[in-house]
Amino acid sequence: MRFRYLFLAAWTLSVALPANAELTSVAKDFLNQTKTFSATKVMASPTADGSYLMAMLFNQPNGSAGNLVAILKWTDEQGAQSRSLALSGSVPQGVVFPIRVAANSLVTVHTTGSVGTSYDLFVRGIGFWVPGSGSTSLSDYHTNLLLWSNATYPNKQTVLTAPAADKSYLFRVNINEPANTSTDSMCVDILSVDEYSRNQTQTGCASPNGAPAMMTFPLRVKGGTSVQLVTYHFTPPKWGGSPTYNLTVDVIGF
Amino acid sequence: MSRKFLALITLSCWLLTRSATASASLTEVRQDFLSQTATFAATDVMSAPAADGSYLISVYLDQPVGGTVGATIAWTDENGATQRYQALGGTAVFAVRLQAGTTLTVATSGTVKGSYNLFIDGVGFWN
Repeated sequence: MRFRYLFLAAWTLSVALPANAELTSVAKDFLNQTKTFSATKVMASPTADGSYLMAMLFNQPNGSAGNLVAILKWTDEQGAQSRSLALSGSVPQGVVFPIRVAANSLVTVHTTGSVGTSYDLFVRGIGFWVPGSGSTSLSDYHTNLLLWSNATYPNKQTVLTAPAADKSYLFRVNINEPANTSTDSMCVDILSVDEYSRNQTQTGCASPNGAPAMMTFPLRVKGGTSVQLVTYHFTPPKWGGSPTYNLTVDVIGF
Repeated sequence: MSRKFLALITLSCWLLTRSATASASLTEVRQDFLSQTATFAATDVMSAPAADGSYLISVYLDQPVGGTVGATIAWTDENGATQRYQALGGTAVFAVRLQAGTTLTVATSGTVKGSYNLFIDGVGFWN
């Protein structure tokens, strides 16, 4: 009998424990594309009007002379909408933006332009549903440097290490200083390696007037490599004591 | 039903509970302002966190052609400084550091044509 109560208690606990959110994941890869492609669904149509945060990341290998545009299309309560992302050269291009999707409508992506040797397009998204119920399969990572008063330069801190296979992430970075009278602006570099083994850097600098640097960007990270950060003084030398600053780096893995 | 079987079920249930919650330190922010026919003053979009928090916030505003409504998101960061982000007539995504015990507000301004919808969504990141 005691076991029966124990079982009931455990079951109740499993039901009552607060799950965090009903965030759903959107992930669609277009790898090693050698031609442009026509409108292709990136997710199942929602059965109710839904809100999503979408990210597109566009990349091509060194030497590929592609000049391309990726276009995501959706339908919101007002009608058809679209967002474009252009790619030329060897610097990957990324964009993060919210969309509102009408029930039973399509979200598609297509590419136009001229292809070099090949290109990759990654579409990622988070669907927002009813807060406080359900659970999410999205993984997350956090690195906080709170109330720091020294640059980490030249030392780097690891934010995450990708699994064996290449993986897509969405980054949220905020660096700020309490308003102060110095002219010392603290910066952060987010350092990563993309799927073509090229080093990539995203930079943000806090302002001594109290204005934060607020960054959101997608990254494609080569399998087995680490994403690292380093903080430094905007005005050389990069190292040494600094005004107090706060750096928060949060990442969603898809 | 044997005690061993019940114990096994209990253990499985506990493990299930652990696995369902261990990975998630993401919370969801969602506030919809549907079919608005007028601008509105600063309104909370979430409850105040108990500790300083990190958020990724998105703003999506859709309105008929001719409408010029914009949204202003305001919050207090961990330094006690007031921060604002203006999404004029469209969409925005930005990172927020929110001071414990304070909240994020949204207000709209501009000219309303017919009605508009405003959606504030976001993710809270917790260790």
